[in-house]
Amino acid sequence: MPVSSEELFRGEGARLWRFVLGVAGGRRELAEDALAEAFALAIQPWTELRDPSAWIARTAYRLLVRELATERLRRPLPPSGDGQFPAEGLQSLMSALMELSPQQRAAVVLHYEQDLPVAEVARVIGTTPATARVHLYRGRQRLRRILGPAPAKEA
Amino acid sequence: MDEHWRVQLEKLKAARPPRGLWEKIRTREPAPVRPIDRRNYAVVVASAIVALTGVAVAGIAFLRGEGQPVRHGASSETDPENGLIAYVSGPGASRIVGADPATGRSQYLTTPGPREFDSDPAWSAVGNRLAFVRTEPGLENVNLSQSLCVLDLFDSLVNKVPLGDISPLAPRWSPDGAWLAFEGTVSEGTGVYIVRPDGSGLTALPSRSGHALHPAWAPDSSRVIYVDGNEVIISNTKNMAVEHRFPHDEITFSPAWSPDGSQVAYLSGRQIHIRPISDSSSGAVFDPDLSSVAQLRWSPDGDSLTFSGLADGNWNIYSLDLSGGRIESLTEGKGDESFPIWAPDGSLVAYLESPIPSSQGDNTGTFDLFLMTSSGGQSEALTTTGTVLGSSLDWQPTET
Repeated sequence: MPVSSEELFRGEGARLWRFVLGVAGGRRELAEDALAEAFALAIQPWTELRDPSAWIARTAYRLLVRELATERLRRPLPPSGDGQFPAEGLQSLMSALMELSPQQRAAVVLHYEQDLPVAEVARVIGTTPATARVHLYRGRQRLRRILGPAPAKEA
Repeated sequence: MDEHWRVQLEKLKAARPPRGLWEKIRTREPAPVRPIDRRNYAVVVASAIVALTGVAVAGIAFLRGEGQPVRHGASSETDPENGLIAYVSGPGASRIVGADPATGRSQYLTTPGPREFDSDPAWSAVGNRLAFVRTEPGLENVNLSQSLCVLDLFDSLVNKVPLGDISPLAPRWSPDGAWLAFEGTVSEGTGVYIVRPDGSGLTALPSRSGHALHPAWAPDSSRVIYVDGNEVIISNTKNMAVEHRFPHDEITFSPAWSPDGSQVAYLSGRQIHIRPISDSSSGAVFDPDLSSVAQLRWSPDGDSLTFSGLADGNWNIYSLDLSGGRIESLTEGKGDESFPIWAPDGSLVAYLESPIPSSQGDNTGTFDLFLMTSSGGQSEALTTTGTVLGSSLDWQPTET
């Protein structure tokens, strides 16, 4: 287990970042704030956490869901992936992810991008494994339909 | 072969934490915890009790078929000869519900078990059978078990159509009621299949891309139009011969037959294509001034097409008058209006409305069901609780 938040960030920061970025649908500021706040909340009970990485993922997820709901009521959110990721080619993925619910986004990223088992996905998003499977199933179907088949390669 | 969505998702691995993130984390103070105001707490608890009581009363009324939807406008023009509008109710356990446009009442059409959910309703041409897809969460992995089911309204029995390892979606009845076409997924990809309701005659229609979708039957039940990659294909279901291919460079979807079977229409990119199938002319192309178009539907009289269109961040329902080529908006809601379907007699159009445009935040995938007259006036809500799951709507024809 990492003995400090810095050690955890060095080891798990990239993976946690991809998760919050996916759930935020590419909205970088929201993702940064949620992850920073989750780390800040984790510092005080650090020694009591059995799995700090999972705790931070779960907390960041909840913060993001709350923030997304609040933002939606307060003002229009900027389009997802609006030119923020040209080098990484992520615009279409982020736009597609924003067509999913936050639960579907979190489940798809955790399971398919980060290879977490369904039981662990369920723990992060605070639901039962059966419901997590439904989120995975629907998220997968929507992504498949939105992104469609691979474009034909040029000869 | 990895599916395209998985390849796209893998690109997320390229996303690196932005510079300065650790500094932001290191210097972050947790937000102060707000103490509970006991007076407000009491108000919240009291409000919750009132709300829960209301939900319970509404739920009991719904179960007794006494739903009281908001009604105005089109109610006096509702034709009681039109059947039930089948939709998927959620977002918890999802089941197929039928809304009666004449009375506004809803009734459960399917009763999935606690670990099952139902979707993709499709009425047979005379409205006596309902095909749908039943999904059951798997025990060991995420590869859910999906079945093609047929509900017979005469005896209320549900029969599963045996399909082997094929996972079905989007069933469509042939107009003669003898066959079902559906999108079937196997490990090699997705194809369009046809099968009789008893499971016999299961056949894959021709596909070059391994990604075939969106089947729709010709009115005489002899052919199916579908999308194969970016090609629109018409296959004869008697001899499996491909009779027409319409290749496109852009993503192509939503094919539909004209009611008389002489033409087909589909969407490619942001354009609406109409093709006669009895001669070699190229047909007509309409280019609505919209960011995106979807869900093309031919009116029962064949005079117009409806579709969903995105402009200025909002989805609305549009109509294309085929005699003059005029395109007009039928809805002007502040939210998103989409998924139009025609009443069998052509007098009404049902559609789904999401109160918040997808451009303004999360699309949670839940909607309310609305009706409007075919000219776009006098809309009314058939549901008001935002519990309709998107994309699966079908209007029951009545036997004549």
